[in-house]
Amino acid sequence: MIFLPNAQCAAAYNILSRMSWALNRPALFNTALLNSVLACLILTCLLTQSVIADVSSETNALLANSTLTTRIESEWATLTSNGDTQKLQLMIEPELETAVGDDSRFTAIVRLRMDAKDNLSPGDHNQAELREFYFDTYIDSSIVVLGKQQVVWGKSDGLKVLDIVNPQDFREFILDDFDQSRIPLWTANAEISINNVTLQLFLIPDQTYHKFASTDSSYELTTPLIIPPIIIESGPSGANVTINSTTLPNNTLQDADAGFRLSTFTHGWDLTFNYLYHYDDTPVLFRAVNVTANGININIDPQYKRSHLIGGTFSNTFGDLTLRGEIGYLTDKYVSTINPLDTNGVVKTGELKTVLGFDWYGFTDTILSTQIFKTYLDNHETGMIRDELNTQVTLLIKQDYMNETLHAEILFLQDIDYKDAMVRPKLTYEYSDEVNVYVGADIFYGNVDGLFGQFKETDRVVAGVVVGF
Amino acid sequence: MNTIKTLLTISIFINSNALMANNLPSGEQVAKNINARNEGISQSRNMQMILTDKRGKKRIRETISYRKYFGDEKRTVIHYLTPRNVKKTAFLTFDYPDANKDDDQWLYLPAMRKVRRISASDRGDYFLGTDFTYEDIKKESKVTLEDYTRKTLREEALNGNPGYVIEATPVNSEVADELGYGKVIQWVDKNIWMTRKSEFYDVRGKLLKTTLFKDIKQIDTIWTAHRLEVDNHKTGHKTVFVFTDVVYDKEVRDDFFTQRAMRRGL
Repeated sequence: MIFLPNAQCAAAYNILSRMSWALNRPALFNTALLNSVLACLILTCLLTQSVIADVSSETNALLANSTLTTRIESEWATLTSNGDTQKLQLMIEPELETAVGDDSRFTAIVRLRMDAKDNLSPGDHNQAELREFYFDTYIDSSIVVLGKQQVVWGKSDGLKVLDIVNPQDFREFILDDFDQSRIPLWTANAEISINNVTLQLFLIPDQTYHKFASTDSSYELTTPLIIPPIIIESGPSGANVTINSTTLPNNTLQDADAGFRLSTFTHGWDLTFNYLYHYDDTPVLFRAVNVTANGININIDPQYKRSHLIGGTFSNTFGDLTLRGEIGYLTDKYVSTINPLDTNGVVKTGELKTVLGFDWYGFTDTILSTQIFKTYLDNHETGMIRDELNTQVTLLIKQDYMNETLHAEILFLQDIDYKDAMVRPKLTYEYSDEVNVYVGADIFYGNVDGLFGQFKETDRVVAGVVVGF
Repeated sequence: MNTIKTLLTISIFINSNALMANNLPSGEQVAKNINARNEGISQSRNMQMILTDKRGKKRIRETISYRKYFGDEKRTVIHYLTPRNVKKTAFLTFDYPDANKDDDQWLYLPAMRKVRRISASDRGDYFLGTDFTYEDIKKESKVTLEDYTRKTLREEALNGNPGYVIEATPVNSEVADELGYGKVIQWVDKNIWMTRKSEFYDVRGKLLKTTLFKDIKQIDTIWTAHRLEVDNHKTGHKTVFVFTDVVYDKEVRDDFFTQRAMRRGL
């Protein structure tokens, strides 16, 4: 880490502090404040790295071992329904890596995001965020990674089964790359090799959870599959609905998430066994109904609840075909119910999630990929807002042209049971080493109560430029 | 008498030609000599890829790669360092000695942060935008004995380097389709058993691309090409690989050839 004069740091902090922060919540330590300070320091380092004239030899050595790269993306999106610009965003993402010896390094990634429109995060035009900040090192045959990072599990695309270690920012539903929408967490992470098996162990003392699109934003959730109808409709006629503030776990260690993954490669199979003890990143909406002389009072009490996730993944190739899959069982899943006789408005159940994927490489420069997702609730009761069994399928067709400078793809995500879908065609051209341009569309259709259909009025065309240097 | 002399001369000429032909090593023997050439147990090197399209527009990638033998099994990993849009992409392959066993390959794409298992059966597909196929990348200066039948066409020096010209023909149409080649002509240096030039013909017999192995120098007694050039005559695209900091048999960690190391990057 390069430390800079206080004046420079203070100036950068003043600028940044005027921006609204995209950080979630603090736990025992003040995550937002820590992130702010670190982002300030790193930004200042990045901005001043090239102009430092009088530096010590130690700083010189660090600079010599540092690489700074930056990704700038400008994206424009317009709604097809009325031609309004939905998004006019500039994102700057500097990344600094500093090698410390042969086997260790620091990595810092900062993201600045400015949106000239106010549709995705109303009142939150400009965001500065310390995305990742970690130190990683080899210790004998183990890799230890300490700091703010992403832990990514699973083999699926587009939808998630096991990739739930880090929460997600749904500001743009699931349209953002997961790399961008995944919320990095402060984590102690180690991967230990024992013969042909790798054991990953981690502890996450960071109580940050999903961040949902805010009210009146483009991707505010309205589907009754997530938001119980009683909230959507402000309760039955005459009822007073009160939504309490969310009860947050706040003990750094007691409320930490922890998990492990065993992975191996044997007889052509990539296999993993995964376990995660965590808080479900979506709050459970407990309901209390009081009937008084003044009417019906409905009290909604959002709480985060613990869950165990046990699962595994596999993949192998058979000629032109790659087979991959995931299975995960979540205990203590709470699903809302509209059954008026239910005491707390939620039913506790287990949730089994599976995905089976097939990637076909039989045609030159082409990938055909399909996945089948199944979700099963093992304690289903009448009135629950989700079906006992749900099936979703995806299809991806991707083709490269002109020595992989032009990429065409189309992705379909279809919910079989709720009869809604999302279609995402995209064309990307690598204009040069530094510049990529793309154009695409995000189209939703089907049942408005479905996960995808809820956004059927939000179809859009997108175009963007990505500059990397 | 003159007639006898003439007949004798013709006879000697014919016999000497036959003798010369008989002295040429067979195509299979040349291939075996190529494969027997020492390439060290392990290797590390920097590789610059220069991709030029038919309009002259260049794309340049900097990579670092490691290769190591685990018994007869060869493992190779390539990490992309620049430019930014492909940085941290990594490609890992396990090349098995059993020709009937498909290789295992993985690709790490940083935008997904996931290691993808990819099929190794399409050996004729081009590797990440270059004019080398996955098979070319895998074999590099070696050849696959099982895929081709070979014959030695002639002895011929190339740029002053004496050698043999070998014609390799896929053993059947299925292999030809898989590799994307109907015929390969190789100029093999007979002193160091390295290919210096290859011409690849498509399955219809049309010249597809020409590969040149240049700047061949000894590193730790191992002959090493430091520059590979491919001209794709069909597309007008050109790929140049420039190798630097080539080191053999220095300690290369076994766990560099793992998915974990792909995710971590270099």
